[in-house]
Amino acid sequence: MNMITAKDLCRDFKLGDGTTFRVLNNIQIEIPEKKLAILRGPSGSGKTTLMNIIGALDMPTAGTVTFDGKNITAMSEAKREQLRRRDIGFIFQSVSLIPIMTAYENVEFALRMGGGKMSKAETKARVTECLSMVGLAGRMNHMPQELSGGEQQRVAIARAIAHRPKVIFADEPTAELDSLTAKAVVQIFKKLVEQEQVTIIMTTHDVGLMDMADVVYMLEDGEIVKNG
Amino acid sequence: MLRFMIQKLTHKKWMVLSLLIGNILLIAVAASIPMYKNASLQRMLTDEFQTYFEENNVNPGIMVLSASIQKQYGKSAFLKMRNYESEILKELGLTPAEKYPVTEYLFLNPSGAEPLFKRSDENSSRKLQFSALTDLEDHIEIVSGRMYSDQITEDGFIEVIVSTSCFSDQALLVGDEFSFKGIKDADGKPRKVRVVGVFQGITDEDGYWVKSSDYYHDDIFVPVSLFDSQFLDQSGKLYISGYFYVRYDTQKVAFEKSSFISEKLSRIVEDNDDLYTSIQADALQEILATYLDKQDRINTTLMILQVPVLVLICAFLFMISDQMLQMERNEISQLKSRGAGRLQILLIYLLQSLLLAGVSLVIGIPVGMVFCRAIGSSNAFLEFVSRRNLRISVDREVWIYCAAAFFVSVCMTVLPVIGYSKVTIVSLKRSKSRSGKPIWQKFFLDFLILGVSLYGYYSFYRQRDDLYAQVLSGASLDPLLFLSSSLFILGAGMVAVRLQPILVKLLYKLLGRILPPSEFASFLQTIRTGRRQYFIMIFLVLTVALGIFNATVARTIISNAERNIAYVNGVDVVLQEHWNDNSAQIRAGMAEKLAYTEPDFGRYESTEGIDKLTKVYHYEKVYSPSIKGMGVDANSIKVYGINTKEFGEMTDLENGLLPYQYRQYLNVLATNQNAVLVSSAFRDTVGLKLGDKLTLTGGIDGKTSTSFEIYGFVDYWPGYVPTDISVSENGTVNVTPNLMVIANFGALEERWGKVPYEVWIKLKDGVSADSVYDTIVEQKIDLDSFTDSTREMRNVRKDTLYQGTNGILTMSFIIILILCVVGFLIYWILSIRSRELLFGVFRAMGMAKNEILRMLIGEQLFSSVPAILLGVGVGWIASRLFVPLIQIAYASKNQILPLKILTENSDMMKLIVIIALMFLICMIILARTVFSMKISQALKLGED
Repeated sequence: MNMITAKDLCRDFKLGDGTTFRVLNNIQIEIPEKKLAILRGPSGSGKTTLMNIIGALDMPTAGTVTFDGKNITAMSEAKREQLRRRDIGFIFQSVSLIPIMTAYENVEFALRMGGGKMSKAETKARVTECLSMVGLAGRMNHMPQELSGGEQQRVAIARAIAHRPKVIFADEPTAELDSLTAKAVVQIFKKLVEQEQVTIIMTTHDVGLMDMADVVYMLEDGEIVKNG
Repeated sequence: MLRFMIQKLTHKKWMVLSLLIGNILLIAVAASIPMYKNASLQRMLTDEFQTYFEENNVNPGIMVLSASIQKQYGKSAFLKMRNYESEILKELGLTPAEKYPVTEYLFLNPSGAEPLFKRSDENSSRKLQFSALTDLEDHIEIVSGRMYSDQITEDGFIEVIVSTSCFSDQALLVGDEFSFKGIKDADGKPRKVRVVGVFQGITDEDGYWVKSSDYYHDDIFVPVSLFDSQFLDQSGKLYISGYFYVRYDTQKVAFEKSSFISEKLSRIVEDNDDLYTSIQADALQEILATYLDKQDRINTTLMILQVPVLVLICAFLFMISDQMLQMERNEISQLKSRGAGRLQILLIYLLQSLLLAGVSLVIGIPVGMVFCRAIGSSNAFLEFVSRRNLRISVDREVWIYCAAAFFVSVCMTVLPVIGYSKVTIVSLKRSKSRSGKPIWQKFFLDFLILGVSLYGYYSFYRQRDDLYAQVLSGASLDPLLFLSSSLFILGAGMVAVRLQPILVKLLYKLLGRILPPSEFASFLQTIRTGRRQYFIMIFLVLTVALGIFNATVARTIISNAERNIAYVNGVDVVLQEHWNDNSAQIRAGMAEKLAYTEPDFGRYESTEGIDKLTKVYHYEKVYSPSIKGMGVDANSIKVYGINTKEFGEMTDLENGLLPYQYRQYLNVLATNQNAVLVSSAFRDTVGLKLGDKLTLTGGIDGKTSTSFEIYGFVDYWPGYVPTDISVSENGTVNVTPNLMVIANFGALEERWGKVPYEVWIKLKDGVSADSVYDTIVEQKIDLDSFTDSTREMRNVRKDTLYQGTNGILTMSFIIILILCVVGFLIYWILSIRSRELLFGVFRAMGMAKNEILRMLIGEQLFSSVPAILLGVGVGWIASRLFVPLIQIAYASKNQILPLKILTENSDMMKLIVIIALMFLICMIILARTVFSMKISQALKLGED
């Protein structure tokens, strides 16, 4: 079954001089559930834009996106916020942790956002579990600036997974990491897909990571050129 | 380098704007100090002339030089004085009046005038004097006959004209001719005159007539030129006198020359005081003395009132430039790494602050003038009325102040750079991972400041009596006192800010687990990034605290002055009518005992504008045999006789001054005709107790002894001054208790006889005492005295000292408020800017824009509400501690009532409204920023 289906997606950006620039052109994409999917392509190819649209962060100029059977392009902003809170986790290229919160609180915050009613003990258990999954159980009470880049990214993963979303979007999560750390991160992704039954969609231009993915989409000049 | 600077400036326009605002305020405040001081001192001096005129009905702008020629000494003294009329103003540095700068009144001493043709009905000879008055011709109208000519007639007569009063007093007719045996012409023949006209002075408003034309009732006037040629030039034998009226422009008497003028004038007056000459300038001397008496005190007080706000502006500048530098740390470290020296970096910032200070100078001076006008038109705290403008000028002193402010501003913005210019990329990275407490918390600077201020408070508190004495003898208050109050507010404010995180943490412990995510994030933001908020929180605390403190000082000082004036006056108007007595009959042997005829009291009751009135017997210096030899002057008792009911209806005392209700004392007094109330000062000096008999000797003859019984003691009584305070030359304060007795009106009248009583009057609202005076005079009532107490009351708020205090405290508060708003906005704008990526993350996680806004508002509330509450606390404590001390600067001998510290609710409301408005503006800006934010754009920021 497909987690996400996008049909005839177009996205135009208005430029300063009044002309429009088409970033995505008639995209058709189907992403199966509980798989690690990689969206690759050179920079400027529209990966982030596509990700933002199928992640309910941005609206397409034309076309529809179906997320877990629901048409998110027809949803109100509030509904889409709700969707993002419950069913989606985001991981960004640069460090996106909340700087004023410890690793533990960052993860806990995602749980709060998810809105599920959990007891104090359950919350603690889940946060610890998520941080253990990324191998950071021992550094729970550190502030983000006290962690290395790789560690911070792993906290971001733990946070993205904490509220048991259906899909995790990871935009260039390895761009700022060395290749060894990057591999380790993708390893964690693979583990998560298995353990947490989650769909993970990540963008990258690192060719070395492609063979670890279940599905690979190639984006070039705003169009999907190769599937798989 | 210049390009780098300009780029930098345009990049951080918000920061630059707030630096600019701070700079402009600094320059403006600095410029307004001398501007306002000089303008208001000038106004005060000019007002003194006006007041003198109103109170004495004498034009103070005239000096009278006089001289006379005595036979045996010749006319040198006279001529010297006549020459001096054009010199004296130059010597004193005064400007001659535009109209009639000098007029001369010359006269030959009266001598016998023999009529050439005696009419049957007239006395033989008259005492007439030849006179001449400068420009007389232009200020009279001839009511009979014609104008004189300036030549001697062919038949040898001098033509003269006379005033109507002379005409009637001396029973003259036009055409009368006289000869003067005592005054001879060049040939030795007696002078002959012919009266050719009678005149009446034209009394217009231009002040030509020093004395009205009626004054000249034995003067026969000739033209000045004729007087000179016929009498003066050949005198030596004649007694000629001259009054030289020298008029100067009172509006142009410059206050800065006042002490020079005063000293010089005394010397001139002394030097010219001999048998033949004298100079009279009493009005000017008196006015200058009154002015100089107040000048120093006002001067210093006004200046030191500005100190706190200046310090705050400097702190603001320092903090803003420090913030700006923090943002520019990267650039500085990059510059350093590329090989720029520390000096070069300093130079860039020096250039930048010179540019800013320069722009501020151009804008600041006009703004300073606006401040100055605002201060000049303040009526109460945060209250302005339109009043005649101050004459504001930008003089050398203003430039000096501006230059100093310019220098300070450059220092404040460049000094922090020194620290930052050491930063390299490496040390920057290292320091970024640390975030400790601010320096002042680490070294307990706040406690140090608080300690210093409390020490200041303590030492001033201990010597407050000495301070009072100093102020009464004309000294100004120690500026350090004002400084310690400012330091207290600053120190206490900083200490209070330490409490804020504790408060928020406490709240967090209570609510943390159950809060929705946005409030949870606000909490953490407030707790974890407190350090950056200290800056804005301190400003909030200071704004609120200083607002309360300034409002309290302003209100308390004014109300204290007004309360005391109202108390000392007792009622609006006290008048005493002239009573006829039978002393003429006694002298003629037709009566033995002195008796007065009481005028009709009913006339006052029907006088328009009077609300209530009562008769009061008022005896000064009554003798009491009961206290003879008890160490006080037994002849110094004031005795009042009152009608308790009427008196009680028109007077009042504040609650709390007496142990029982004021009216109860009146009731007790009314129970027994023999009862008296006695002042506590009286009781304490001679040791009286309730029920004691007190014998007083007074009455119409001053010899009637009457025994009274003491029914009560009073510390305060309408109009009663418990102690007389006088300051001797060497500055010691002498306190003499006032012995006062209040008796029943009826009892006094019965025992001591009917003597002239005072009429105490309470006016209807909005009626001026002047109009009542006019009405009374119209009824041809002959008044011995009329004391209007309302004028003093009306003048309190116009008084330079009070008005300046009000104005400066208000302006300071407004400036602090501006700083606070600017600081608040800049803080939040920066805070949002620096967190745009974070907001993007929040939005991606599904947070709605509303929630983000709520989060920001939550943060504001967590940091601001405690700060405001703490500010209220600090302001309240500071007021209670320091207002009683600051009040001393405004002390007067009339300080009788206990000081009441007054914080008006309406002021607090204004404060709250203004701060709420500030929040509202801030929130609107926040909301706009948040709602215009695009997630995808915010997130992209992170990808660069």
